[in-house]
Amino acid sequence: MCVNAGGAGLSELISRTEKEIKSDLSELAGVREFVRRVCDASALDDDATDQFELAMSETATNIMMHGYKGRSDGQIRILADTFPDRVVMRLYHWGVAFEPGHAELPRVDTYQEGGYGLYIIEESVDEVIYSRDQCGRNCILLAKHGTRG
Amino acid sequence: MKLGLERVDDILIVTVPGRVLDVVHADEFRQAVYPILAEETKAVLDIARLDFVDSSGLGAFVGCAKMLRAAGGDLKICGMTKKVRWLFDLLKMHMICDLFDTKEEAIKSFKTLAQDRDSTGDTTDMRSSVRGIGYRKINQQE
Repeated sequence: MCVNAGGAGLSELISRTEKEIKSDLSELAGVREFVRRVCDASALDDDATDQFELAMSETATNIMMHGYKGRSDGQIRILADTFPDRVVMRLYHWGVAFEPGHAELPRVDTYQEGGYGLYIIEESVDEVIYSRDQCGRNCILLAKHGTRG
Repeated sequence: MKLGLERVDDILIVTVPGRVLDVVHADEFRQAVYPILAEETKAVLDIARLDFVDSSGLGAFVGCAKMLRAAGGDLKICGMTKKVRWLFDLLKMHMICDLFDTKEEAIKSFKTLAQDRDSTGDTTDMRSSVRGIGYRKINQQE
């Protein structure tokens, strides 16, 4: 099992929620709704929730476009854990593994129209971990820390 | 995608419909807006209705700015929600187009720039503008 509580034990776990989707871009709206529902019930404030929503949408898009290479019948499982001071979400998929390196700030001033996703993900959350288990299951973990002011 | 279009003098204001501009909608937006912007040199994108923009949506805005700039024109974007503004700030969108809270401010900045150019005789960058058609709505989004 790919179990990682984002730097702390599960003893502080407040809630765990799951969602399964197909690797179809039409599922993205549902992913964002799921993220907002989890974060709204967590310690994250509105800004942190907005950023987590963006990071999860970009990550799910990458899985669909790159992990499953545009196939719409792939499976993606999302596991969301809330803790007193953070939310941790894992996206599991069985497509092609991709583990990008550190993303530099893309040059908007060169008018490039793509290639912003990885940088947005890195900047929107506090922790991003790519892993793959022995069964060929990929896991992308995103964690966001914060407390409501 | 049905864009809202209105003209103030030689400035075209394009209102982006819907609440989401993501990877699902970005191509449709491009196909709708690029032919329109191809005819313009001064355009404002009013994105006040958008509650969510992802990297693909942002890329489409970059494409709009690129098109206007290649034609010697200029694009301004207005009406960003706090969430969208955060994304724009993260990627430094202000480096390629001016950002405003309101449509009125964006229009005013074009007019101020034109007045400055008229007073200095500067004719660089902007293509000659079509003046005197006043204010008219071309196609208002419901």
